[in-house]
Amino acid sequence: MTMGQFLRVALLCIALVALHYTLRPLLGWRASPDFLIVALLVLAVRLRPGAAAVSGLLIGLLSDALAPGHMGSAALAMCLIGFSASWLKAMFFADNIALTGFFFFMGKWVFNLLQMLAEGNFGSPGFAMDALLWSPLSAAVTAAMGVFLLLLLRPLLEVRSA
Amino acid sequence: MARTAAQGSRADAVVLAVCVALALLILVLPRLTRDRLASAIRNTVGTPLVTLQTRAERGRMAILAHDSTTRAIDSLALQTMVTQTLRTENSHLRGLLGLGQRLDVDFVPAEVLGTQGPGEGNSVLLSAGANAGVQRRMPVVTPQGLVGLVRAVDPLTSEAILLSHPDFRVSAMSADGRVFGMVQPYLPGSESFEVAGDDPAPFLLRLTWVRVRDTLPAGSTIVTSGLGVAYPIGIPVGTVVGELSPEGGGFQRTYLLRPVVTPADVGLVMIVRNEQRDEGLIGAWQLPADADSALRALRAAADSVVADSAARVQALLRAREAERRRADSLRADSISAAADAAARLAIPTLPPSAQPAVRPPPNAPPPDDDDAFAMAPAVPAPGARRQ
Repeated sequence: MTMGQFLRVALLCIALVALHYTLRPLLGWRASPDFLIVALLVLAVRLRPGAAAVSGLLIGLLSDALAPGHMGSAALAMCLIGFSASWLKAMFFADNIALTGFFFFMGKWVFNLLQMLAEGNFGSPGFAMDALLWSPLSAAVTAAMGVFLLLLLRPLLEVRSA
Repeated sequence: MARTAAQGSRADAVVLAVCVALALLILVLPRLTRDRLASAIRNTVGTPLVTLQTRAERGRMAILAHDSTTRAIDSLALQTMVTQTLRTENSHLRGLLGLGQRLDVDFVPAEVLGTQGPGEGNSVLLSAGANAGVQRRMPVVTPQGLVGLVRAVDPLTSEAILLSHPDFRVSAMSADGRVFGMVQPYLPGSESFEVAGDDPAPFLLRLTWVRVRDTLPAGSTIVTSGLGVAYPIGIPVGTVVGELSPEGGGFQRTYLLRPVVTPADVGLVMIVRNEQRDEGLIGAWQLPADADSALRALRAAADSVVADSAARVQALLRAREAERRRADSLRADSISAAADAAARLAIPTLPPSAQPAVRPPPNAPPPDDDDAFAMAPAVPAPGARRQ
């Protein structure tokens, strides 16, 4: 990845982070899009797995700091999601809209599951509802948003083919 | 090449392990330490994001509150409109109450319910009728002045013609009582007259049948003259705007009046009953100083008439008294003469009860009891000397 591509991706990630803290509260949906996951996945497919894991850790720490709860749960989940996404990029992140959408969907759903596990919510009364209803819904919305943004910014982003 | 890839994968695994270890360490940190760490992140790199999130939350709350705020604003606007209407109505009512306190005559308050129908904007329907004591030909007034006249009466409502009605006529005079005439609506078309003001076509009145020698300056107040049976004296009708071209072959003047009451703005009115005072309604409205002078002139004229009548009555009473006294003296003289003659003829004097009655002269007033009692000592006793 050249320096220009890195800067463009970095700016996109910053914009997605900013969008996460502006559009998401503005919408106020129960199943809201997660632009941090989109930013992490967009960044992860362009980095090595180790760097993607570090990026996930940093983005997760930022998310934990701004969302009262279990500090470190999102960092752990995003660390694993980033590493996995970077490792699986050759498999899933081809120039295919459906596969990209599915990648975003799975990334968000797995992230939610890992976060709930890290927070110790497994077995709680609302776990099944969150894991099987709200998390997939949120993942679907996130996937839709991510695909839309990628289509919108396709001239700006050049996906690195494996 | 393969070794490099393997070393890279190993390094990535190490980095992943370190990252996972850090995340787990943060998870198991004491709560106070985690909070401090979160606070440190929020106060450094997270500050812009916190600001963005705060503004976004405010925006969302504003969006959510928009409908309720709009409803509240609409209700407040509606209440403001109602308040304005109530304020205007209150002002009118206060004016009516003030006028009602100044009026000594009886009146019936009424509301204008609307015009009689399409094209009948010159007459209005009033909310008071015969049940409230309203009768035909009762004047309709407002705190500003004359509005019209009751034309028809129903049990609950009544119909009144306004100043603008073609049949409206009222005898009027200047406030100082110097100039008299007849007020009627001014129907544009026959004469053209430029009126200064913002209203391009204001409703105006005409004051006709004014003598040629009488002139009215612009701004003079015209009130009802009290001539006739419908309108008491002193109700303001309008103010002089200017003079029209002479009518009637130049033997009369015609003045244009601006009415004190605009018929279209009439809302609350008072119907003045026909029991009017001697001085009419002068003083009920705030008229210029010349109205007071007119009132004083009218009172002075009335006083002079009363004084003249009293002087005449007093003179008549004095004449009757003098005539009566002369008759009494003549009666006493005749009785004395009769007594003297009887004494000369040695006729025994009769007792008073046997004396003949003395008839008064035909033109003398009939004596009352006091006169008879006063005449008794005039008959001399036997042997008494004539005084």
